[in-house]
Amino acid sequence: MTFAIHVENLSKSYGAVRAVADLSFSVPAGCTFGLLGPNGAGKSTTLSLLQGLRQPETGRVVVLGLDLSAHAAQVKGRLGVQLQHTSLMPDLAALQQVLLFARLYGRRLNRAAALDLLRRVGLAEKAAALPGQLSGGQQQRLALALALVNDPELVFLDEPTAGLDPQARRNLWDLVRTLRAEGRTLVLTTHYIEEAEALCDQVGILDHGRLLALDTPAALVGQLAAAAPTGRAPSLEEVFLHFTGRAWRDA
Amino acid sequence: MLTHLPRQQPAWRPILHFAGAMFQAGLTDWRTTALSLFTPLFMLVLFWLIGRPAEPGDLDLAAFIFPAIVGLTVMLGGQTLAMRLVNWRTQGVFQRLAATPTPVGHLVLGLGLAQAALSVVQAMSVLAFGALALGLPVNGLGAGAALGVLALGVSTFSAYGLLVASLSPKADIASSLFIFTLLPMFFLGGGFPAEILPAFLRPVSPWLPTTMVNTLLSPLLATGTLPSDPAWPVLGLLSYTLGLAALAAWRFRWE
Ligand SMILES: Nc1ncnc2c1ncn2[C@@H]1O[C@H](COP(=O)(O)OP(=O)(O)O)[C@@H](O)[C@H]1O
Ligand SMILES: [Mg+2]
Repeated sequence: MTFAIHVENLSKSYGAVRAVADLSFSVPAGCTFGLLGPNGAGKSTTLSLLQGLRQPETGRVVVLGLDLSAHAAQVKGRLGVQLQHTSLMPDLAALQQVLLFARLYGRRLNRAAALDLLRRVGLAEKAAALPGQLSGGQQQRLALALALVNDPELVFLDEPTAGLDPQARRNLWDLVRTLRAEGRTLVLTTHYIEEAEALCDQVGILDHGRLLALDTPAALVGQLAAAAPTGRAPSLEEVFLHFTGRAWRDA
Repeated sequence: MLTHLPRQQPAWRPILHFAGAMFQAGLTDWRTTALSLFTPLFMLVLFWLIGRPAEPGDLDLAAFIFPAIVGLTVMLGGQTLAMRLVNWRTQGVFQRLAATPTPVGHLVLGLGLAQAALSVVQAMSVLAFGALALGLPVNGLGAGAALGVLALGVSTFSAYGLLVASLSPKADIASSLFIFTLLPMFFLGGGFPAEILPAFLRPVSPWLPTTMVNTLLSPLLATGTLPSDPAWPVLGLLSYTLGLAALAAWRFRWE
């Protein structure tokens, strides 16, 4: 089996906060992988280490067969990235953003291809709109379109459905499934359990920067049923709470 | 779905594409662009209203300060650049840009080029306004040659804007830091006649980049000639540009 991502002993701290602690896991190519965890679990930090945006303190990251510490630029060109806190260029219309980002990936889209991409995320009518003229959900979808400008092999989506309405969420699920069917590897983070269940081949449960469990959603449910028999099948949500506890989490 | 050309390309291409897009963005955000024209135009009109000579032979303050205000227009471009860079940092725009294979330094350079081009266009507008609307004297040939000086000046003050951005945690801090350091340099550097400066400040003047821009710009715009010794200000501005850019690059954080 080839791996799209292979991580060994990855750690990252912000001052005294240990955001990622000795993380090791692999994501098979073509798989949709979900990182599940409460707020502050270290999901976004983990992604930023896999995207070459931050340097880990310890550990090794191999992405698409290349060691990230030595080949960051080369790897970045093959990744699609949607960040949690959407950050679009303020004074460029949607279509312009798509065309510009393609260039930054060394690609050249013609207008029709760029419009196609906007259509894919339901923004064809907003091609001329500035980010400030888009709703939060629309901005998020534009960020998603930008994550696809380079026809990426590996796509990172950080809480892609947070703040989306039910229609937009279902459309995003469809898009994720299409991307998977096209043979791409996807890594998405979420704290919506049903989303992980619906989309992911494998789920990692992360808390306090540590990976508490990693398996298919069905296997995780099975493990809990065996460990704490209740006479009925537990939900993935119960698995999640079993691993992460019930204490309040800060945003 | 996607059509594209081979991805191997020289480094200058994404820089120029980015600069082009940012120039367009600068025009889209015309309010900021117009606002940064306001200060020089306001000063120019003010000096024109109060500074016309009462009798022939008196100093024409408006004509005297005109080249300095044209120079000030490109200097203020550094302020816009600094604010934009800090905004990009605090709003996480850089974070997304840093995820692309184009190095962040190239993107900063592209943004700097775009802002520089905008500033030179603005300076030429101020020049045209002063000459055509206010009837201030301008040597036509010198105005063309002034483009070179403006390009040099805008490089120096873009580098300064870069340094200010590297040191400022917030956009409004960057804005204030830039303007409150620029204005004294402006008045010591040709904005006011040297005779009215306090004596202890006069030795500072020749070392200021504002003076260097003005030393080159004043004779060019007035008579179409260069100063007798143009090497000093040209080399001075080049050294400032390199020194400030190096300092800024050393301190620069996109996060
Ligand atoms: N830039 C940063 N500076 C300091 N602390 C940070 C920064 N980013 C995240 N953290 C801290 O690191 C921990 C993990 O954050 P994050 O990776 O964003 O978690 P998640 O994405 O799972 O919500 C949190 O405690 C958060 O407060
Ligand atoms: Mg997060």
